[in-house]
Amino acid sequence: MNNLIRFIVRNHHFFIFLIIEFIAFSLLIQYNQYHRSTFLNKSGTALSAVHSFTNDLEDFFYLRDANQELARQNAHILNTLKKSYKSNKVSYKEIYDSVYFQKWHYMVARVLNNSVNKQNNFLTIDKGRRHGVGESMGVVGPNGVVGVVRHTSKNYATVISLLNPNFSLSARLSNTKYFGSLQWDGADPQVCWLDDIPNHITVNVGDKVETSGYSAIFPASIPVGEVIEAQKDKNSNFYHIKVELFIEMQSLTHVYVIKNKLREEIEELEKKTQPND
Amino acid sequence: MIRVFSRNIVRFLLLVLIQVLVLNNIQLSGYINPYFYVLFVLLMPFETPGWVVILMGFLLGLTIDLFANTPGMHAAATAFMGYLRLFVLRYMEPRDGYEPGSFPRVYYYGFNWFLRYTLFLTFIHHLALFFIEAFHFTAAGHVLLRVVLSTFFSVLLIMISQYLVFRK
Repeated sequence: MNNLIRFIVRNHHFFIFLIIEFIAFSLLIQYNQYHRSTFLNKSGTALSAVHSFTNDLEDFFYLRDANQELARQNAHILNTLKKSYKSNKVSYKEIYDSVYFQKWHYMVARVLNNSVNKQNNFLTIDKGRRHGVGESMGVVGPNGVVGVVRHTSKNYATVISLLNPNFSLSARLSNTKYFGSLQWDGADPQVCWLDDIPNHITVNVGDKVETSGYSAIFPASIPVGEVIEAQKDKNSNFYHIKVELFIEMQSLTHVYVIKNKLREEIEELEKKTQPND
Repeated sequence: MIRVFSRNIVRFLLLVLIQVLVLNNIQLSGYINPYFYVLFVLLMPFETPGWVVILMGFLLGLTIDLFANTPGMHAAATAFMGYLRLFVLRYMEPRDGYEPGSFPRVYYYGFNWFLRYTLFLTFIHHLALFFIEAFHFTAAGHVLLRVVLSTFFSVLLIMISQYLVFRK
């Protein structure tokens, strides 16, 4: 305090000068219209500059919150985008006809996941229980059999591919109607083997192979492939037929799930006949 | 002491009257307006306390302001001039100090000394005054021209007064 007083006394001229000038400028601004308006104008500009600076500073400190808010809004907006929604629409065309009862339903599904180069290949499709997909339903592509539904969830289903040694398809030669079972050997994704065709019939290279229709899974006469080689097995009475598949598993995008509306009826009936099976 | 005091009062009043009644009505081509009244601050005795110089400068300027209807303008400029006078006198002090009983006039310290003293302080006063009047720096060149021309005429009047009135 003493130092302060000493400082003021030592520089009293300066402080008196400051006070006098302050009074003079107060008078100037108070009583001169031009100076007053200029002063108010300039001080307003300065004040607004200070304000905008402090606002900028404040904004900077609130950037984190603003970012979070924006991210939240982004998520909200993304949720409203159409492409975030998985379409549950199933094109279903049922024709009610007392003469022709519709037995097979085809339902389009998109392939989400696919593999061809493993030993046990599976596909994932974007239709599930809520769309009416059930286990053991057949799946076909644009030009041939793809596989059978293995598991279903609410919105998705997995499909055992034809390219899976655990899966065998009941298939027949389209000209002679003799049937056997078609199975993959785990090698070439374009080749399967048809067995159990009795060797007393003639099999030519180029003969078409189709589904037999003897199961409740696939309708009859869906194309599968064509014979490229027919080997006669010396130890048995059956052919070992090499079949080139029509379907190209690598480039599948859309498949059809086939629903058999009479399946339960058939299975129930067959259970009655073969109760021990 | 009383004599010095009363002479200053009279000088104050006379200079205000000359300034307000005569010089404020002379406007040479809109640029030149001599402010002769600063002579009062220039002629105050060496022994005057600093705060008195500043305060008298302020009061003198304020009186001129009251007549010119520009409150604060001349007061600010003249107070500034009075403040700087303290430093100018200290800077221009002869080696053996100001003689007791002498005043800052041509008679005591010569033409050269007084011209430098007057020129500097008058220029400072006019500079402050005209810039306060303009209150912005956008036309600084124009304002500066007015400052230089007016300073020239003010200093001219003050120097003439030294030979006509304050001969001793």
